[in-house]
Amino acid sequence: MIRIKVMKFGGTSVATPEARLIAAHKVVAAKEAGFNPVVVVSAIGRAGSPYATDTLLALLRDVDPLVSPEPREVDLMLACGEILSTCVFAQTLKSLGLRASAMTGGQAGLITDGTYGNARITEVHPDDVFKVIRAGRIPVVCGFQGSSRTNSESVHGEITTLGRGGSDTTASALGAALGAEAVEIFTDVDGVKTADPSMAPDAPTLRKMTYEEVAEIAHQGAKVLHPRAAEIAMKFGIPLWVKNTFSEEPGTEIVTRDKFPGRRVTGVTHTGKLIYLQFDSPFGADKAAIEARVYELMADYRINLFMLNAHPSSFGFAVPRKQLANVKEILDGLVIPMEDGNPRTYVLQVGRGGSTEVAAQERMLRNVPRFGEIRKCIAKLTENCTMVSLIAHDYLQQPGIYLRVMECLEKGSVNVLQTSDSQLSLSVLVLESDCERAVRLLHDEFELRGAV
Amino acid sequence: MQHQTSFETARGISDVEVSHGHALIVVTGFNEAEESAKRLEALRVLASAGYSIDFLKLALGGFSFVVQESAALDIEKCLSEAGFDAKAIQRRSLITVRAPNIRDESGLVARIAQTVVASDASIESVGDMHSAVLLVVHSAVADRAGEALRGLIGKVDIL
Repeated sequence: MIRIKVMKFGGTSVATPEARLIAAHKVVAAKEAGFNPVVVVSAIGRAGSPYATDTLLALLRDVDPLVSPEPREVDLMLACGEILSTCVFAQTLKSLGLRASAMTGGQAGLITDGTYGNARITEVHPDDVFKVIRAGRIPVVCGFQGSSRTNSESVHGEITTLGRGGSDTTASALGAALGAEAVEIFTDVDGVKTADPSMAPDAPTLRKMTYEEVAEIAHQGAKVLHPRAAEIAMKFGIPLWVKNTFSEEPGTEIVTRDKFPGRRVTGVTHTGKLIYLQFDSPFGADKAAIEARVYELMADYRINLFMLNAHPSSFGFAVPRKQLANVKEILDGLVIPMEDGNPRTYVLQVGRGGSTEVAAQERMLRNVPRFGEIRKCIAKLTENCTMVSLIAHDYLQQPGIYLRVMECLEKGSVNVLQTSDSQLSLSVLVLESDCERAVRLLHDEFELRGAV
Repeated sequence: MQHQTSFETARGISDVEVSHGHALIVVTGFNEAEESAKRLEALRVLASAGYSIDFLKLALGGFSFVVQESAALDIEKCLSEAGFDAKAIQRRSLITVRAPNIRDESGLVARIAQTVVASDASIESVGDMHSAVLLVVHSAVADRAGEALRGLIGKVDIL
């Protein structure tokens, strides 16, 4: 019986020779404890580092900013980051007297659906990983990548990257395929905390949480384990841990619901910077057509929508601030004609100020009789917003939870702009300037300092 | 040992469920100066009476939320007796659209909303979680909207 433990080290854990040595000693400890470690690594360092994913991508894009690289070459380039990292980490293990073999995702048997930039793992054939283990060596596998199935177009398969959370997903998938006793995700924090410690310094590390909770906490903005990794571990019943490379803290164990039942609040999260758009207009029966067109364009241009809201005479949603320029370009001056025998045309305007684009469109349309009455639809912008969310497990359906949330924020002078909820979370849209206060107030109100 | 298996759920919409028997409660008539205090007062009345609410949405001069249809008229009465202008709008349905890692699929929430609106269902409230988008619509059009969404199951080109 081979006892396998998959150990995944993220960018900061392999960023420097010192960090790699600390990580390598964790591998030594696992080996001494009787495990056959299988290591998965991310690219070296984060944005700005010479071998980080962003740096490699910039190297390709900077060849000529006017010529976009093709997704195939982007994936090949990005895959180099993890290949470099595996070779360096395998060499670090060798420097400690261990035998190790660096492997690409494809060599480790990770087969994907072939989608460049956001591939899904469809199969894992771990035979070669087992061969390395049986030879007494430690496999060091590239995270974030796999190889597509061979077909008539590609005899050897294509290197594809897995998108966000790719290295966590690699670790979970390998753990499942190898029948690992545990998958450990090493990062630079002690595990999953009840809140961002930069906002709630007394936020404790959760010792246990369920797969659903970790997926929701990540969905609502916490930068922890990626939900894709949790999904695979849950599906195959693999024990999953989030641990700190740089401490001996026990970390957070992710378990199935039956192993951690009960009703509780798990944590408070906050998302990034958002802009809220509210479309108010005397639409009448035209609202559906305008709404459908706006949503269609947001989907076609792949805009991420948060906190959708609808009323008989208005609708609205939040978008990430970094996508606002895009949204403005798509919607400002957009012409939506109603073609039902009574000609009238809507011109969308993003923001109260009104752009020259909108004014020009209006002038032009007024001179063309077939467009009929020209009506302006203004999307009011609320800038500098963020979403603060309470994550909970079998808790939010109790009477009075909304009251507690709204009352505690009101007492703390936090203005709630909008709310949203599901079985697992209750979110409030607040101004960014109120974010830290809102996180602390909710963290205190639901007594998360004592959470374990 | 399983050497060849299916690991991840495919991208996009994987399932659609429609559940009937919900109602929308709309509370109106707050003036701007007292909006926040009145909202809290109404939430206090609901909590004291033991009513659980979902999909709270704030609006100018009031708010709305979703409850079980069986409790809607009692809730309307409870709020009215406490001095609030509340109206129960019955025959609402909840459409649950399951899709893994929604935040990673830019444009998917918008495509779901577009599909529902294009099937002549007016969206009255929306919520989301990591693996699903939840939409409240009139029961008369819920099944049609559900069917339109089911037509997107397994289609990656909608993204």
